[in-house]
Amino acid sequence: MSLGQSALVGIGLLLTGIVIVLLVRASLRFAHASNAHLVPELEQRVAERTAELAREKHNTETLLRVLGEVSASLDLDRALNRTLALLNEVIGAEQGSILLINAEDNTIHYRAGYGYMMPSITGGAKPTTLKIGEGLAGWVIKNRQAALITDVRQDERWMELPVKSPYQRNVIAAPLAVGEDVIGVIMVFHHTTGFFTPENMNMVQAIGSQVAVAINNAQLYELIRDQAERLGNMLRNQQVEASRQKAILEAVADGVLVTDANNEINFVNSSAEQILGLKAETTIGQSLDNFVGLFGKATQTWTQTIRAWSEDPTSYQPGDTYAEQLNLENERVVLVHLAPVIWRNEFLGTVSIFRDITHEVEVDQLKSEFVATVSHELRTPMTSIKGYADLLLMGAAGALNEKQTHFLEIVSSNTERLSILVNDLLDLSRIEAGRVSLSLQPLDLREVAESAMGEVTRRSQVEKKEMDLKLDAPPDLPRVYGDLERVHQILSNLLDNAYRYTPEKGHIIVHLEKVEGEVQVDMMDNGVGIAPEDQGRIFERFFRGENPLVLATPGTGLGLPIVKQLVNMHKGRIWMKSTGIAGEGSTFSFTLPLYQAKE
Amino acid sequence: MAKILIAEDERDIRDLITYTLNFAGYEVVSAGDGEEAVALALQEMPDLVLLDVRMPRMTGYEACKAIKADEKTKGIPVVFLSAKGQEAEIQAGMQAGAVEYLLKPFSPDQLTARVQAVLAKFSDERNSSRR
Repeated sequence: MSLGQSALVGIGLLLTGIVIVLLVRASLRFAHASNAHLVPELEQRVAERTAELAREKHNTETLLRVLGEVSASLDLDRALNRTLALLNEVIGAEQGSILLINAEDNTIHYRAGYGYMMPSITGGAKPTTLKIGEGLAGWVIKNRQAALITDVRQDERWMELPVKSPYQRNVIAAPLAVGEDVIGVIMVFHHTTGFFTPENMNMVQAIGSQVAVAINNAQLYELIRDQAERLGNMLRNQQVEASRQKAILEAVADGVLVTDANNEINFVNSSAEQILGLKAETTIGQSLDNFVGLFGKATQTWTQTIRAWSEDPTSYQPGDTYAEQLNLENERVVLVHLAPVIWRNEFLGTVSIFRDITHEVEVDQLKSEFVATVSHELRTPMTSIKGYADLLLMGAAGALNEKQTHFLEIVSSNTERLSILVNDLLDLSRIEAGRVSLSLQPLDLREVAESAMGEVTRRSQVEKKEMDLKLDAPPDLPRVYGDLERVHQILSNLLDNAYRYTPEKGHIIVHLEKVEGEVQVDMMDNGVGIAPEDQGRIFERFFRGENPLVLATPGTGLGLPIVKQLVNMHKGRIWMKSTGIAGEGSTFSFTLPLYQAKE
Repeated sequence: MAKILIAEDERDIRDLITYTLNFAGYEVVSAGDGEEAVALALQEMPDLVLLDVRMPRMTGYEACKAIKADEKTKGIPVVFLSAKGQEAEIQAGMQAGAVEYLLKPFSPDQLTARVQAVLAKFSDERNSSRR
């Protein structure tokens, strides 16, 4: 203790240097000037001062320890408990508690306590929640000042618990303040009234402000930690979600290739690797342009579309997609479907789906070849049947009687029908297999219609079936863009139907008119018509309906499917109308796009 | 009376063509395959050759090329008569040097009309070149 005391005096002297020096000089003067009775007084004053300094030193030390305690620990509860323990030790308090304001509901909650021996001391109930201004704690917070209460039973600010505690008579309460904000209150108790001194109160106050800073820091730390945790969770969830989506894309049987807004490849699944013959690790992060040569000429439009979209996202119209069959250089046939990825009006890139249809194309080719072979094989015997029947009809083997002639005519006309069927079948299978290419050119539809109608007129003369044919077209009809032979075929097939299913002395009107971007052809007859229930299937292969008037007329059921395919190939539209009442006939309409002269 | 050489491996059809052309008043020489057709063309010097495409030993295309390659026979017009009517086949026939490509089945009227037209066109050309 003696060693500690001398050190302590030194510090005290340093701290209050000026005062001490003056004090000593004054003592010396007294010593010289007067008698020995002054000396004990002086000694007593020095001793008092020394004790005072010792207390101050002790207080400073306590403060330092509290400071060290609360700032060293990021665990707030531990720090608060330690603080209260130290405080009790230093000022001799029996109990201590810290109450904090809950920012959410602005009430005061019990946070830490020290020296409570049994739960029953707080009345067995949960520590009370106070409003600001309520009780002593509330008063301290509201008034932002410390209070020393000699005896709580004499103070109206004190709010007694349901069970009066014999341990809480003498109280010090100090606000926990950080700058302008009061965040809570620190309280110490003693069962003896008047035990605490004002000096104790200063001490509690000083510790209170340290604790407040520590709590504030701890709360900030908690906030940051919570925030970090939340961000971490979010990131983890996003990673999980991203991996899951990647796994889904990876599992898709079709090839998936994703490019970003800069035209760089972002993602390639294993199917795409296989189909395109690429490795993901050498592909991802590369510009799509680097692969144009690799995929060959066939992919040019595809890559150009992607580039056009990434260079000028406004060129994309909602609903725009791009689909094409690509014949790759590795001899695979791939169907590519391309769509832009737009999120909140922002162009994020594109996604391409590849489907390897090599096998399907091969099967289709085999089918077409089969149909071609069959039709060829059928034509050879048909040549003989028709040829010999016609020879007989020509009288090449002698004169025929009427009945013989009639029978041979039946043979001949049915062979003719069979021949048309074979031709149509072959034609349709080739169109459907995509083997027919159009040689598009500007066409005067009026001329084509006149030529096709001329054929029907001649036929009606030969067959002696009178038919009134009329062409109704404006003189300034713009030209359409089409394949002459195929447009002629469309008109011929439709005229042929109109002629066949319209009784003698009927009429057929062909009406041509320019509509928006197209020329529309309407072909009206006053024939047998088509029942409403049959109209939905009229463009189906081999469909001829149940109408005996129709079935009585030879037909293959392939004419309209071919017409529809050909119109579609021209990017036109086709439809029909009929009341289904015989004599009111039907109207078949189709459109062909206008020819746009290139600048 | 014009002389016509026909080459067709199917006997029924060969006979049919022969009857038809005879009936129309033409003299007909017939061959069963491409090789025979080329030999007969040189031997008979017909006014027109009518070739089937698919024949054993030598196809119609090859026979046509051979006829067109020979100085003596290259002026004789060649017409194909085939059951194969796809664009590629018709093109191959025209490239081999044919003037016409007729499709089976055909009616006797059609055949004689086409033969008549080709003969008329070529005799005109021959006459004008002689002049």
